[in-house]
Amino acid sequence: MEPNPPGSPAPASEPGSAPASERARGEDSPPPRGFAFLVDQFEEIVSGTAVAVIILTTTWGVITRYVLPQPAAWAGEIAMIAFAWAVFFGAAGCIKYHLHPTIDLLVTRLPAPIRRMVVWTNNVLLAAFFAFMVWYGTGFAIDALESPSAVLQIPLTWLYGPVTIAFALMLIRHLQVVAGHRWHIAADRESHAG
Amino acid sequence: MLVDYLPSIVMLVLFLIGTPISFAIAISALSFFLLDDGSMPLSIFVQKIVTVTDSYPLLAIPFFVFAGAIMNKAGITRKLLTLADAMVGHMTGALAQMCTVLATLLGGLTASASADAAMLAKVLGPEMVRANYSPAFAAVITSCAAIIAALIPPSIGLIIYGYVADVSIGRLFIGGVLPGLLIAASLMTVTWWTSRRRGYLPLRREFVGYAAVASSAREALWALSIPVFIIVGIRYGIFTPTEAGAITVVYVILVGLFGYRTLKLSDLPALLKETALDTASVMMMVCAASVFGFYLAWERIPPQLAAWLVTLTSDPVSLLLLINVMLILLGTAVEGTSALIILTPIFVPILTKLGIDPVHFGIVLVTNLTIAGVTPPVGQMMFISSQVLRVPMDDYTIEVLPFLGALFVVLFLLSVFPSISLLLPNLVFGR
Repeated sequence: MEPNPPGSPAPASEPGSAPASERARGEDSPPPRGFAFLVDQFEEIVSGTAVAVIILTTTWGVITRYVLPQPAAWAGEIAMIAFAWAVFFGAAGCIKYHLHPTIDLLVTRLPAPIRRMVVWTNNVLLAAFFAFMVWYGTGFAIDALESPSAVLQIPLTWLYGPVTIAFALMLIRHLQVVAGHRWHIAADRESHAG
Repeated sequence: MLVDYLPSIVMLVLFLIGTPISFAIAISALSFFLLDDGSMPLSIFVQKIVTVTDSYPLLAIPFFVFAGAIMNKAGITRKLLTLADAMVGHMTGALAQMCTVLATLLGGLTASASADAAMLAKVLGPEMVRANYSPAFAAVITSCAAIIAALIPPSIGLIIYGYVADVSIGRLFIGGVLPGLLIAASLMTVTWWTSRRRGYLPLRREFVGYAAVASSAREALWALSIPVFIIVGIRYGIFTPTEAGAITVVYVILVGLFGYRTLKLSDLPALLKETALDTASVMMMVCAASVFGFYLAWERIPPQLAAWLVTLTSDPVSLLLLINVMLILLGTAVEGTSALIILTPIFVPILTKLGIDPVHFGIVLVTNLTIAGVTPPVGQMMFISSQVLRVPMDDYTIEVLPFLGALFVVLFLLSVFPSISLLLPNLVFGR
């Protein structure tokens, strides 16, 4: 039924039962395990966990509003921070699978030499942009040490720090993709957003 | 003067050379900060991009994405297939009619048209081909029916519009119901007309009877109660649309684990990964658009465009139709969500000034840009259905024409008669 996402946590934890994900991944590389799995799937693990945290905290917020006299205001704040983690680490993950939507109507019709030039322009531009975000994000994250959040009074570095790390990962994954590293995901997968 | 427009031009050029849309928007906005002789601090740029995630309404996106993924995995959506079968199995072109009915029922569970297109094409597409429907027709009906999901609540398009235009998401959700049903009716009419000419058969001779329909409805009650629960909960202020999303997730997990017993806890990590990636690809565009919106507002571009548009026509209805034509042309080449994110802040102030209700415009805009998903040569739902059923684009293009005709008629009606979109929200929430 559903395409089995390559390297998804379930098959990787059961040795010998990963043929489906191997087929999706292609003949060349078996799904990584252990530490290699962590390195390969780091963004998905962080952002997937963050999504789970958002769901739990938001639900807890609703429950406490009806059950306890004092609703849990911290829940909303944790959800917001986790949302930033989910979005930016997820965006780094999307780079691996080419999941950021692109208009390729024109590019695919260009003659090969011009197309190569356009592709390289894009590669350089994106790398420069990610590097810029890492540079300014780092400054921002350090400044945020001084500014505490509204409810929990934790430094906003908890927000800007991970976002900066995520942009660093976007840069790394982008360079890996440019260097020819391939991550596979089923082409007819059910995108649930859009 | 021209330099004010430079970032917009940069964005268009980047779109054309295939830079990912989200980063194309972000980079063009950055060019505004860099060109502006240093008076604009670059920290604003970073901050604008990051703080979008500090928005409560947008949190609903991962919730509804996740809920949709769980329902598909747990097969909750398939329970609705039996119901659709009982309702329209006796009609000419039964499988195609089931597709539209199923999409309408699904619309209340899933928030995304492309997810529904994938689900419909995988479940009903092969059945139609086996029953001698042309594969192109099967691809067309599965992708067109998915449009309904974008209008019947919950809907990601309406959440994004509500956030960007600062309009009540509850009103938008309820406002989408009638237009969604209208699209279903129009698709079923075209299906009936095509099926009769081609001899696409009913599955059975006679209607199964209301008792049988009621009994399959009872089977699907878990799933069918979700949209009702969302609307009632929002209406009575029990929870916000975002909280409704979180509760829906918990609810479908419980139904999957203990109600239908078709979901395993070990399924969840893979579904969380899918959710995270899908949410991120949309949210990255929203984040980038927020800082681009800062540039647009700073250079006062929307009012300038408004002044220009009003010189063409100042009649609100003609303007709305004109915008529709522009969007249809744009939609053939551009993916819907990104167009929605960029165009909403430009058009909403103009149209509100001319007296058009932003809820009405939101429904028209989302309908228009979702129809763009089935207009060749670029369309997300078209790609998904054609890929699943291995249909070449030329065949798809021929088969989609009568359906596009019907959809444009609905779009025209929605534009000219605001009450189709506003009747229910005004009834439920008051004016």
